[in-house]
Amino acid sequence: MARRGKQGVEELLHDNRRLRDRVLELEAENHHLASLYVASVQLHATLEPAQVVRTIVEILENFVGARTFALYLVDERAGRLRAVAVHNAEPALGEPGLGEQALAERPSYADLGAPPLDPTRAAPPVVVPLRLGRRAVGAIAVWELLSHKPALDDVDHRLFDLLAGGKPPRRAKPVEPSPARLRAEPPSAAQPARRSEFPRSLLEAARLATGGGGLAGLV
Amino acid sequence: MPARLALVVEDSPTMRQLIVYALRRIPGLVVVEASDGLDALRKLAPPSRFDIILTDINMPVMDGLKLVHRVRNDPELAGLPIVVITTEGGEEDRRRALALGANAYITKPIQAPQVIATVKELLGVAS
Repeated sequence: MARRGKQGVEELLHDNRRLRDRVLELEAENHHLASLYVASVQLHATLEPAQVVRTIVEILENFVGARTFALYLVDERAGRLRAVAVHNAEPALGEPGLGEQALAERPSYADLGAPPLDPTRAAPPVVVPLRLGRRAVGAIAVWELLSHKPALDDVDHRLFDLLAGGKPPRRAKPVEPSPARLRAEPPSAAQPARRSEFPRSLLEAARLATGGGGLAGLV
Repeated sequence: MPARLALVVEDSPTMRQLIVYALRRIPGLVVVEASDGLDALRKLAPPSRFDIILTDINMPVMDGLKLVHRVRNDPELAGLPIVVITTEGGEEDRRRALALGANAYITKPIQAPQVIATVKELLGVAS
């Protein structure tokens, strides 16, 4: 009788631990979903390109926990990537690999481990192409995460998917301009966005601009 | 838990929304938002009766450190628990905020369970 009672208590304790772990998992998932929801709402809450860029920077800094990163837009007319936001360092100017990665269909995630990379020399370990359908419109490059953030996790990849404009189409073809023509430009080359083309998001901004003859008017 | 009132002071709408979503997980907690320290002081003015403040440090108009200082030197508000939300590398800000009388700090990127646990502890709410 006593043994059965003890066994029952142990089972209850085991169930209690299992349920507690499950609650913690659900709390974490709830936080991830809230992050995605807030990011999505904020991205689509403005028609102002400069505000969209600010929102992307906030998401990268405060949600993903990126420390050193840059946001580029493709300037089709000039055939180059133009930095519209740089955080904590100058990006790798003229980095040839960045152009190829920006035109890729999928993000590339290399190890972001210590020691932190020098953004003026090293290719970014994380490059997230921003695409509108099959068209490359820009890229996010990340060199370093905050020191208390050891690695990207699942919700970070989902946030990058959100920023990238969703999953790329299955049969995406190479887009113009060619990777060889793309090179990174410093943010100082960026011009203020024209207020006459205010889209609902950065990607819609690109769509509007390309429909009107290229992205150069936006960046 | 009886209704409690929290003030979230953060200039970034994105970050503010995420904090508000986290706090909504606490039953009975009503959340009011402010976009900077001055906005927060306006909302803290009587007859408002807040139970806790969560504030960013770096904000335009009036930053979080000045807000902590003003609250701690106001006899009506001096006892309010204050949580500062800091960025990495903000150790000096964090140290100053705690020296000025902040009760706790949270580092960005925030995690909802940590925000909830911190607020519950300061409000004396059982987890």
